Amino acid sequence: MTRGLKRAPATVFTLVTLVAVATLAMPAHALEVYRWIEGATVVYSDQPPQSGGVVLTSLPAREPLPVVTAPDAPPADVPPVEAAPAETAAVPPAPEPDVVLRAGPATVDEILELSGMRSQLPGLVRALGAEYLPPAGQLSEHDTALIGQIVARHFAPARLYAVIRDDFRRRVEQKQLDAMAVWFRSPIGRRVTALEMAASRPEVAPKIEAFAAGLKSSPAPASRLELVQRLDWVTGASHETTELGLSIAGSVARAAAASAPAERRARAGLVERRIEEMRGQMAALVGQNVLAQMLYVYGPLSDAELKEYVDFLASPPGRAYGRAAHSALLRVVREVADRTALEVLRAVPPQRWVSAQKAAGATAPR
Amino acid sequence: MTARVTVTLAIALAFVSVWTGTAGAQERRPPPAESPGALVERARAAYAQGRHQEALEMARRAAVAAPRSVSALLALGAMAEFMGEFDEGYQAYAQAQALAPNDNVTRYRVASFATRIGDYDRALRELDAILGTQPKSMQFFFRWAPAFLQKPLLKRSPALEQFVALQIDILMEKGDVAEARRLARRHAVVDPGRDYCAEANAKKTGGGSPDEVFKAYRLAVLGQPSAADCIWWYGQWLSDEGYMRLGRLMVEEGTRMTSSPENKNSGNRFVRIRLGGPRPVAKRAESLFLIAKQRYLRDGDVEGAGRLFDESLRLSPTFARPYSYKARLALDDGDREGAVRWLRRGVEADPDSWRTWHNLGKVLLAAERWDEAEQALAKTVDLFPDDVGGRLALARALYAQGKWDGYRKQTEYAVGFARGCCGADVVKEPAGFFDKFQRWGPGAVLPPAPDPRVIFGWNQD
Repeated sequence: MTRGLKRAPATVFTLVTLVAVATLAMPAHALEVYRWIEGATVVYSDQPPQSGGVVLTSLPAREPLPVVTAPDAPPADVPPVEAAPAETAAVPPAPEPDVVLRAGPATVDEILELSGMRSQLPGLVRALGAEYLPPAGQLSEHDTALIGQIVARHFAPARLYAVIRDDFRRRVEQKQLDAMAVWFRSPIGRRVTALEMAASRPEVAPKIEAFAAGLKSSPAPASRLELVQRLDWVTGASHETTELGLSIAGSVARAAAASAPAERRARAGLVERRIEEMRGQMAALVGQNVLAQMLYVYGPLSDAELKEYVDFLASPPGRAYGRAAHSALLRVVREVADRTALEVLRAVPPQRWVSAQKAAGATAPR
Repeated sequence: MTARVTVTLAIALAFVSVWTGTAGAQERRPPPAESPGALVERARAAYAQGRHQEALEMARRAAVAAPRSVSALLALGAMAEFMGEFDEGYQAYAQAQALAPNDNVTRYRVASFATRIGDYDRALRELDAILGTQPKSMQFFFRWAPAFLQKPLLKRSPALEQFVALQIDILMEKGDVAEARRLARRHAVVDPGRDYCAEANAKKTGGGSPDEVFKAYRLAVLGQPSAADCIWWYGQWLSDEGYMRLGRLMVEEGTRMTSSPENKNSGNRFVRIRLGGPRPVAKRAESLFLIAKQRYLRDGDVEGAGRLFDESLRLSPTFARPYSYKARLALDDGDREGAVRWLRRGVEADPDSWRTWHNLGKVLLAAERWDEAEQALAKTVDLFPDDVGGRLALARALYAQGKWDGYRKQTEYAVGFARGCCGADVVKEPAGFFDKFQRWGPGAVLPPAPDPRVIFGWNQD
C-alpha cells in the first residue's frame, strides 16, 4: 500500500515544470493518496483500505530510473547550485547559462532552454515515471526489472522533449517567440529561471517542506501572498499540477479496468467518473502546496521583481508561453502515461501484484 | 403513501400471502429444493437481499414448475412487475386470476398493477370487488361509519388502511382529486380544520426525512384544497422523483388554485418545461422509466435498464427524461458522441425540456465544444432563468471563448441567486473564482461549473 503521490527529488522549476513537479513534491503529510487493487479495479482514496489492501506502487524504496540519453537529449542534470540555508531559496549566482544569449530572432530551443524547461525535464520525467515502479521487494526481480524497462522506454526525456518542442513550435509564432525572448533573456528573467532551477535540486526538497510547515506559525506578508496567488492565477499552476497527477492516476485506473476480465470490467465512463471524483480532493491540497512552494522559490525576489515576473506571465507573450508549454507537457504526459500503464499491467497483471502483496503481507502506509 | 411504498407493500403482501397460504404444508415438512414452494421461497429471499434478477428467475422457474399454482403465479407477477417486465407480469396475473377469480390477494395485486400501467378504472373495479366479498354489515360500516369510528378502525387494521390509501392514490392519479379528498375525509385520513400545509412546511424546513416531507404534503393536498403552495410543492417533489402524471396533476391543481398571476405563470411554465407541456407521458411509459432508473442506479443492470428506457420511448417518444438516461448510459461506456446524439434527440422530441437542454449543454461543455455548449446552455437559462448550474456552465463556455462580459453577467446572476436562496456555500468556488477574475482579469484556468441542487422540483434526471 502506498501513497500514489508524494515527494519527488525535485521542486519548482520554470513556470511549466513548476506545475508538474509540484504534484510530486507534496509533503508526505499534505496529500495522502492511497492506491490499491480491489477486485479488478484500482481504487484511489485519501484513506487506506479497510481490508488491508494491496500495493500498486511505492516510492520510498525504489531506485531512480536510468536517464536515457540521446544525441539531442537535454543534460541529465542541472549544474549544482548551492541551496540557501535561509528560509527561502538561495539567491543564485549570476546566471551563466550554457546557451549563448542571442540578440536575433528567438528559437523554440532557446526559449525552452532559457526558461529552464529543457534542463529540468529529465528530473520531472524521472519523478513521473517512478510512480509506476513497485516498492523494493514487492515483486520479483524479474517483474521489477520488466516494469523498469517499460517505464524507462516510455518516460525517455529526450523523446518527450522532442514532442514538447514540436508541439510548442506548432502553437507559437515567431513574433510571440521573440516577445518571450525579451523576458527570458533579460537579467531578471534569467534570475527567475536560476531561482527555479536552484529550487529544483533534490536536496532542496526538505527545505521547502520545512518552509511550508513554518508558514503556519509565520505566514507570508499579505502583499507577497497576493503576488503568488496572482502568479498561480495567471499560470494555472495548481490546476495543471492536479491535471498531471490525475494523468498518472487515471492511466493506472484505466489500464487496470482494461485488464480485467470482460464480465467484471468497469465501464470506461465509470472509470473516468471515478478519476474525476479525485480532482476536487486533490485540487485543494495541491493549491496550498503550490502557493507554499512559490513563496519559497521566489523568496529572494523583491515584491517589485516578483510583480515584474507576474506581469510578464500575464502579458500576451507570457500567456502564450504558458499555454503552449502547459498543453504540450500535459498532452505528452497523458499519452505516455496511458501507454506505460497499459504495458506495465499487461506485463505484470494486477493479479500478480495482488498475490505478491498477499505473500508479503499488508504493509502500513508510508 | 407514495406509489413506491404502495408497490413495495404490495409485493411484500403478495409474498406474505404466498407464505401464509403454504404455511401449513411448510410446517409439516420442508419442500424439496426444486419444488415450486422452495423456488418461491428462494425468490423471496433473493428479493429481500436485493438480488432482484435472481428473484425473477426463481419466480419464473416456480411458475413453470407449477403452472396452476396461484401463489407461484402471483410471485412471478409481482417480480415481473417490479422489474418492469409488464407483459410477463400481466400474463402471470391473468393466469392467476383465471385460476382464482375470487381470490382477494390476486385482485389486490391486479389492482396495483393496473394502477402502474394507468388502467385506473380496472384498478378501482378490483378494489370494489374486494370490498364486495366482505359481509354487508362490514361494507356498510366501512363505507358509512362516521369519521371518529373510521380512525380506530384503520388503525387496528393495517391492511384496511393500505386498502384505503391505494384507493386514494388511484383516484389522485386518475385525476379525480375531489373524490380522493372525499374518501380521505370519510375515512378520517385527514381531519377538518387542521393546518397540514404548515406542518409540511415545518417538516421541510426542519430537516424532516424526504419521505416524511412527502407524506406531509400529500396530507396537505388531501386535507387543504385551498393550500395552493403546498399542492404545488407536492407536485414539484413528484416531478423530481419522476412521477410525471401525478406531478403534472398536482402542479396544475396548485396553479389553478393560486390567486397570484405570477405564480400562475410560473406553474404553467413548470408544466411546459419540466413535465412535457402539451406532450403528456403515458402512465406505462412513466412506470417503465422509473423502474429502468432503479435497475440502472440501484442494481447496475445496464442491459435491463437500457431495454426499459427504449420501451418507454417507444410508448411515449416525446417523453424527454429517458433520452437523458440513454445519454448517461452512453457516457458510462465512454461514448460521448453517443450521449450527445441521445440528448439532441431528446430536445428534438421535446424542445421545451429544460433539463434535456441543460444536460446537453453540460456534455458539450465537457467535450470542450464551447460554441455548441454556449448555444445549448443559453437555451437552458432562457427556459429557466434561475438554473444556477446552467448559468455557471454557460459562464464557463463563455469564458473559454474569451467572452468576458458574458461570463461576468452569467456568474453574477448565478452567484447572486444562489446566495439569496440557499446560502453562500452553495457557490463558494465559482464566487471565489469570480472575485479573482474581477481583481486580476482572466486567468489561465476555466471557471468551475458545479451543478448544485438548489430548488425543490428542479433536480434529478
